Amino acid sequence: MKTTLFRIFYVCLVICAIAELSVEMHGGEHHAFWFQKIPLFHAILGFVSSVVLVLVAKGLGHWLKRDEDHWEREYAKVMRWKEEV
Amino acid sequence: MEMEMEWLHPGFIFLIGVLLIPVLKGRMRAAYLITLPIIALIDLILTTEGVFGDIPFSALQIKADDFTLVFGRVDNLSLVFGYIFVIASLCMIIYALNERREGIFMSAFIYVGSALGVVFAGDLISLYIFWEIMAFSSLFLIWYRETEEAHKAGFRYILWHLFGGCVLLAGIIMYAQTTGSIAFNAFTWGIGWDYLPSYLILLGFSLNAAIPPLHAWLSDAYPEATVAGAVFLTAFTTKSAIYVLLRGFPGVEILIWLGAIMAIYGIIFAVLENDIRRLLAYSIISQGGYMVAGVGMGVSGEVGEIAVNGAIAHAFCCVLYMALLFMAAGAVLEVTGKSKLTELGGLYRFMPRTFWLYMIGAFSISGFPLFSGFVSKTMVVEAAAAHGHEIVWLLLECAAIGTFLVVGLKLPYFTFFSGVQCEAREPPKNMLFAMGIVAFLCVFIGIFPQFLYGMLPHAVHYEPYAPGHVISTCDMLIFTFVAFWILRENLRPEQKITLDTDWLFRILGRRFIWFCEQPLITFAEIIDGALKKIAGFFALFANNPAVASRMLIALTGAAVLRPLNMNEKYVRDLEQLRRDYPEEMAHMTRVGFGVLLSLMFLTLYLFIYLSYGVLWR
Repeated sequence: MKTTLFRIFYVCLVICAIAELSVEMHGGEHHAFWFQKIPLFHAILGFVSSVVLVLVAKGLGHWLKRDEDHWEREYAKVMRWKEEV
Repeated sequence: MEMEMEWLHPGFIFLIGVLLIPVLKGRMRAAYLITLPIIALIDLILTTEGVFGDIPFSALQIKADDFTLVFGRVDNLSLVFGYIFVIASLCMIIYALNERREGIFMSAFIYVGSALGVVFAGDLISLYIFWEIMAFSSLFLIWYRETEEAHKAGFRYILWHLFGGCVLLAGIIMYAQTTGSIAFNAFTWGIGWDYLPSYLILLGFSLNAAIPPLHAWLSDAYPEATVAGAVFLTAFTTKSAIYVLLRGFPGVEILIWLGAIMAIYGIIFAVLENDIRRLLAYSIISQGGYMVAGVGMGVSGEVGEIAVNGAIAHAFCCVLYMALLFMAAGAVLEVTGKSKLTELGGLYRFMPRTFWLYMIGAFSISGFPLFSGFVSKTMVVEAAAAHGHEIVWLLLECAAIGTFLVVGLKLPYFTFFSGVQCEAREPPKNMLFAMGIVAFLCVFIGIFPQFLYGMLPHAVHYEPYAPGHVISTCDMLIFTFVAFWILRENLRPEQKITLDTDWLFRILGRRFIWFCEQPLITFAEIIDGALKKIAGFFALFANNPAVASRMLIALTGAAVLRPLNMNEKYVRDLEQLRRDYPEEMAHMTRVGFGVLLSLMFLTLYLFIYLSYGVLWR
């Protein structure tokens, strides 16, 4: 079941890639920017920007992620600060 | 109130209709709740364009002629937003029907009514009033969750909005002062102090549009709201803010960049998020970015028209699919009681209908061909291309890809398939039915975009279903799926929370309160004590000048010579004086102080009274 699904998916991938290439060759689309003329630009954009987004998010996550009880502990810190002063 | 006969304000149907809700029960109430939005919808369909319900503001003595309250400015811009608000409210009410607490319906109706009030307001004063009613009524949709966390998040939510409201009001007052008019039209824009009113008003609007860093109220409070309440919240606050931005600040360049950053910002935080409704809340912010960018590109001329059309069309579609996504996420929360990806999984076996309805929303937000996002989001992206903003174009495309990655793949994968396997069942029928209607509308707009394009203020020359465009979009999204499949373990949710600008109210706010309670009060007490001493001295002086002057010398001497350790004589003198004249000391704080204070105030008043007209006016 799973392998059949994947085969269908691979076929779809190839069909899409060929379709984009053929549209590009016939000049079917109007291009506003130079980079849109790169062959298979949209496929590359889809793949690359997903990877970049995940990597950026992972990197930011190291910096911004906290444990779930983070706020409670921070509140307690402010309270302690209050008492000390 | 003089309301013209041919026009009935659709917002007032909701605002007045609220009064009957607590009286009705059971099926009667359900029927009544559904009837009201239908009446409002018919009312809107019968409405003609024009200006209605204007009240001259002669109560103000100054420039009375220019001040007019306009409750009903009906034109092609306000009508589109009116339509989508009423249609959305109808679907949302059906979704909420299994809710027993009438308070939720009441606050929701006031919320919808005031949002309609904002949309049809033709002047800044009535706009502001409805703006604030919107903030307070929506607060109860959060508080009705009745959890500790919802309670706190609600307070932070209203603090943000009160801040925004104050800034907006300040801007409006300054604007009325400088221009002598309160009419709500496009504000003048430029750089310099002269434009301060415009800046303040823009700041107030941006807060409701959730432009970072003023967005934290949204991602903080929406996920804490009630199941039905969160669905209402998705539509009105942010989209009415888009409306006022379109009206007040079209073509303001900074909004293009803010919008593009907003789109990416929202989606990056959505990638990091674990709570399903918070993840969707971040994607609301991201979607708002397209509209804000569209507003920024809305200069006059043909390029601006496509941007404005795109922003409005996207707001229209976004209300629908965001409601659908929140409905499905709410359904999951309703039946499982859980909303964290790490605690969910394998729900497809139990809730296949919810899954497919969710996926229609997900395909719409991702902009798949045949779904609503495709016909609207691409208009804004196209406008960026027409403007020649390559970086903005890339950022917006990136955000679209990220949206599919997170809302279309990550969330459903970890909720309905992979992860902890939990038990569930389909949600109540009214929820499924409401989701069905919204899903139908999403697909309908996707297939027949003319229906939406016909309502837009400018003629649409844009053809979304050009073959090259369809293929490139499919290509982009299908390769996003490839990337997801490869990286899916990296996207696996963690039991963590993410820091955001809600830190401002959570920690900085607490520190501020601490600052007020400790150093500020101590400082005030020092000043207070010093003033009392001075007043006491004068009182003593009036009573017994000789003792008072000796006192003063002794006090000064004791204080000045203390560092040199030569003040023994003065200290002894002071003690002697205190022993000899205990009564004079008591005088210092009793009658003398009060008399002196009132004397000082009277003198000050006399000075102001006499000098008015001479020194100042």
